[in-house]
Amino acid sequence: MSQVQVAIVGSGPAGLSAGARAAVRGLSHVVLERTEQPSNTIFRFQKGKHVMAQPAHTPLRSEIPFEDGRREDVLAAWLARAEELGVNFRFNSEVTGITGSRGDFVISLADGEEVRAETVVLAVGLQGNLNKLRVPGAELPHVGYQLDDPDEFEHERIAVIGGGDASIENALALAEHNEVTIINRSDEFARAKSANESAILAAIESGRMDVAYNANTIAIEPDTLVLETPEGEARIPCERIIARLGAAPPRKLVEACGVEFPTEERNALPEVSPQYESNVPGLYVVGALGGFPLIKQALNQGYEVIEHIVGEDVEPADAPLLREKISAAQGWDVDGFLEAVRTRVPIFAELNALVLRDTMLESEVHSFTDGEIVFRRNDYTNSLYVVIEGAVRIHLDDEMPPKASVQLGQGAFFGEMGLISGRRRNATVSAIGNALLLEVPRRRMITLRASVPSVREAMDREAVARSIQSHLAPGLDRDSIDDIAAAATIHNWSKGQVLFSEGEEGDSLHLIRRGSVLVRKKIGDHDVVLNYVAAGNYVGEMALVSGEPRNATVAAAADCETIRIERDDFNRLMDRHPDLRTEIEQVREARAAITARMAESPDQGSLIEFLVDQGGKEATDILLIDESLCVGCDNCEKACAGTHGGITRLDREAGPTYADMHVPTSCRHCEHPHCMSDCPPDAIKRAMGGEVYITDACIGCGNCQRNCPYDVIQMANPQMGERGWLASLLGGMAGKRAEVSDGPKQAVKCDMCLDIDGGPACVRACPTGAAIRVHPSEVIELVTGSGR
Amino acid sequence: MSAAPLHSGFLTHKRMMFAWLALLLVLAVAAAWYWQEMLPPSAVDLGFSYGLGTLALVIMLWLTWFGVRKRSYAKGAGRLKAWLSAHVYLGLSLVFLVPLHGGFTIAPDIHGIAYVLVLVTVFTGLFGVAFYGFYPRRVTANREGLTFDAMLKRIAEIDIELRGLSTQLSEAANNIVRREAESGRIGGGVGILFARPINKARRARQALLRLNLDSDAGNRAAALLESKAAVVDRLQRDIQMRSRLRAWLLLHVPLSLATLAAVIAHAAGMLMFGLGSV
Ligand SMILES: Cc1cc2nc3c(=O)[nH]c(=O)nc-3n(C[C@H](O)[C@H](O)[C@H](O)COP(=O)(O)OP(=O)(O)OC[C@H]3O[C@@H](n4cnc5c(N)ncnc54)[C@H](O)[C@@H]3O)c2cc1C
Ligand code: HEM
Ligand code: HEM
Ligand code: SF4
Ligand code: SF4
Repeated sequence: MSQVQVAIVGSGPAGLSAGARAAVRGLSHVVLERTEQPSNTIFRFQKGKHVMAQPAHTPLRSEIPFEDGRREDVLAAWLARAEELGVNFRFNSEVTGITGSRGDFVISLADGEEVRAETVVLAVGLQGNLNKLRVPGAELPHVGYQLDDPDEFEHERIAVIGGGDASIENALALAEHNEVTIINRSDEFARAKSANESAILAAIESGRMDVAYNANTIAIEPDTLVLETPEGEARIPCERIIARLGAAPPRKLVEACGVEFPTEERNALPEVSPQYESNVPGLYVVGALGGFPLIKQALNQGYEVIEHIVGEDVEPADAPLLREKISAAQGWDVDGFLEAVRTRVPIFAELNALVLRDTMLESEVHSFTDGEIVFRRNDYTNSLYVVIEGAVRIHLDDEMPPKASVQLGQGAFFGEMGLISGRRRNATVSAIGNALLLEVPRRRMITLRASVPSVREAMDREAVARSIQSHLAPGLDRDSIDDIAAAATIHNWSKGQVLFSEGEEGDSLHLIRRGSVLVRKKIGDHDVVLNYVAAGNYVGEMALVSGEPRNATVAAAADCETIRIERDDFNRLMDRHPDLRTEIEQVREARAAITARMAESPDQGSLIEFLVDQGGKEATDILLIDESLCVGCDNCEKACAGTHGGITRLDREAGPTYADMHVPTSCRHCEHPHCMSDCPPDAIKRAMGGEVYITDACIGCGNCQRNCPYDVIQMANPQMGERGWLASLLGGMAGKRAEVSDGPKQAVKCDMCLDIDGGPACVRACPTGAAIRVHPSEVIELVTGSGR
Repeated sequence: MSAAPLHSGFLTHKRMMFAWLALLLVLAVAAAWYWQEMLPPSAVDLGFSYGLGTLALVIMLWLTWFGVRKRSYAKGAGRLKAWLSAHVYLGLSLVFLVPLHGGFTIAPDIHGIAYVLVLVTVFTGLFGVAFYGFYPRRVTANREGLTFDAMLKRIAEIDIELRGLSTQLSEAANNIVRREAESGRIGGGVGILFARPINKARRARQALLRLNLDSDAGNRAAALLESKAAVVDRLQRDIQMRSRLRAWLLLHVPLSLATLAAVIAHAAGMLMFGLGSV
């Protein structure tokens, strides 16, 4: 092929839109697509899926039409338009690497061919390339790497390779009509969600499915799978093989093209200029890969990138939105405001123009008058604020006159503690004089912290000092803290990792700023759980004060971040702030009392461990059912359905039980909700009271359902009509978990009855008092307290 | 502990506040009764009876309203648990208030019927409370973490495997196994409230063993029948206990409605025609 002006890699909405605009502009171009049809990501949506055109207020600017509609109709319209414009596709062309520079790129394809181009637009999305088997026979036609419709196969012998959620779900679905063997490389299914794990174990146990553990695939023959197992070579007869080996993140490919990522973090984005150009001149990045997770955004960028390539200076389609946003700040124009943010706010000083602009688009501008409250102590909001103009006062406690109040001026940020810990605000903030503030939402801050090292560093430097001040030495001024803060270090712990062990020398204290820990001790032969300590508290103080070795082992109950302060620094802090010594003594006594109680009845420790494991470790509110009181009337489910469009969001019967405490399948309202992490339209929000809920912006992609480790999200049509008490009295039926229903499906889950007076209907409707909601800080009290 | 416990059942709700209130009511009424008994007979009119009867009726209406309250999910003040706590203790107070009102007389007329119905309703309520206290723990223990559906599924799986064995079994054995695998019933019906039905899987296993089979398939079938019998036992216990947890309400609710009707008839009679006219 001779050289084209633009080569576009990927034909999703971004690539397709770029191809269409290139065709209209009369550029010689080619759209390289890995699969055999355009827009593979959309093509693979569920049949009949309602594709939604979010964000609603962003205008569409593309040669490709797009509005809400069924997947089939959307795709048909795109194809027709692409054909009409003469977009030049090359299918079955997986790009494996790109070399060269502007004017002379060489694009290598998986089939060994090469394509030459003056400029390249990378629009490969985020789905990544499916990992394939690398054994003899892997290319045989009966080997597949995905499964669209399990009902397609009947009465076949099928081997499913992989131990993750995808393979388990496929294997279970296929086992309905086929003889299935699941091939697991390890000796357990621990990687999978607990619901999937128990389902597959039950299927294996009952003989509905065969399993090979510790098995590595070594070869594939036309009707046999050859495995290497601890018992030697095993041959599994099968007519079909489905290997679900996960996907290599597209990052690998992108890096192979020379594009740099700022950090190692999983959700880091490649750095691009306002014209979407990467660090490789002439190589552009658009769409989901560039951090814009929605179809409309991808379509708009596909258009814009071609304009930039031909040297046309286009204003982004959402520029009017930005203007409107900034108009909330009187007397400012867009450029002036952006400039002010960059020059005045140190944590944002190094943001590039595009990122700054997108940050602005997602943020809110607020102006407050003197004394007005920005947020209150114990609110559950978790955005970050920066002061553009004016100043604010932080009240660390509610005493009047405030014992500890700090003033922050222009350029400062606040609210980082709620953001980092996922817990309630620990201070009230009010404006001093007229203050102009920018509120940056949680998701954007998480992306920024992951993608822009300077943001994280600048924030952490300040956040550590503030944590020490507010949790250890309130009232001490910052000058006496800064040196100690500078010496403190931040540590990350993954679930289960030990911070320190019993018997070790106590050389430091850990202030937990995110996550929570379990304290254990060996008593006799038993490993007894003594305590559960959540973010905002410290551990390790006892040995520091007493000078004796650690008297317990502390391990992360969930993923944790701690601030570690060395012994000498801590002693210096106590010398400067004698109150701390008294407080530590009090904490020590309170903990010793709990320890004594727990040591007496190790069973309570096991119950705490169970509750912590079932979500207590990261929950802000957890629904429990006391099985010694539950009469199984299901009034909780009926109440939930009755107040939520006929769909109950809790499944009382499902879920584990320990010592009469049952944890039903219902949202834990996690401190750092897993469900939020990949939601394209950012539709999952946290309300002031901590409720994690899903807004109408949901596009029904199902990512949250997959990400929630507790399986509490269902995809359903939430508009099923509500039923009054009379109807339910006459009908007498329980609201079932959502069945298949017509209409666009969205994610539904517990919203803790956000809009209903009196709070959660499930708990209110329980006649016997079996259903309760607890905050994890109450778990110890619940377990050790009276009343049961 | 001095603070109120974080969590308590309906009987102990708010340290049994409603039990104390009901007791207080009963004592107050008893005092009033004692006071009016002390009056010279000439001064006694039907005022006390009317008053106490009306109080009893109001309590009855409120107790019945519980059925509506139980289903008003969106609105409704407070927790249903508090309502049930009050329901139980106020309901019990009727045992004392009603005889006092009726002057401890009872005859086979509408008045007597109303009286007896109140007592029977209260009695069924007591049964309910006893069941609510007794069974929940046992249901959980019996399930050992399985859900009802999981138990049914387990049985279905065993049946499939049993049917799969049929070609390898002798005709006699096959008859037993197939009949069991295809029956699809575990026994239920109203009877289970009182006694658990025969476990057919266990019977089939015994019949199979009597054939003295000594084949792999025979042993496998016997083992499968054994595990099926165990699941069926568990299921039957589960159904029995859960039915008992519900069945009493099928008496309690109609009885409470019948009581209400009888009381209204009685009161209407009293108001319109006076004692002895009905
Ligand atoms: C289940 C689901 C439902 C969704 N629903 C909606 C919705 O209703 N509304 C909405 O706005 N958004 C929705 N989204 C998000 C939407 O899919 C993305 O925003 C959009 O697809 C991103 O477009 P893109 O062009 O950047 O990437 P993609 O659409 O992912 O396109 C990338 C294309 O590149 C190809 N490709 C990848 N690697 C290579 C390679 N090496 N060589 C050649 N080609 C390659 C792929 O095959 C694919 O065709 C949903 C997402 C999911 C997962
Ligand atoms: C729970 C509700 C009630 C029950 C179970 C009940 C039952 C009785 C009984 C068994 C008697 C005795 C009859 C007899 O002497 O043969 C009685 C008497 C009477 N009842 Fe009721 N009653 C109830 C409510 C009412 C109400 C609501 C009224 C009127 C408003 C009422 C008015 C009377 C009167 C006036 C008498 C006669 C009392 C007397 O002669 O001392 N009762 N009731
Ligand atoms: C005459 C008096 C009473 C009347 C009219 C009455 C009426 C009712 C009604 C209408 C219900 C609603 C049932 C439903 O809709 O599901 C109910 C439930 C109940 N009652 Fe009574 N009741 C009376 C006395 C009592 C007493 C004395 C007790 C206990 C000692 C009691 C215990 C209960 C219990 C445990 C429930 C079930 C709650 C539930 O599971 O929802 N009742 N009663
Ligand atoms: S839906 Fe799942 S991940 Fe999200 S808050 Fe609830 S429990 Fe946590
Ligand atoms: S709420 Fe869930 S289903 Fe809806 S868009 Fe977000 S991640 Fe997708």
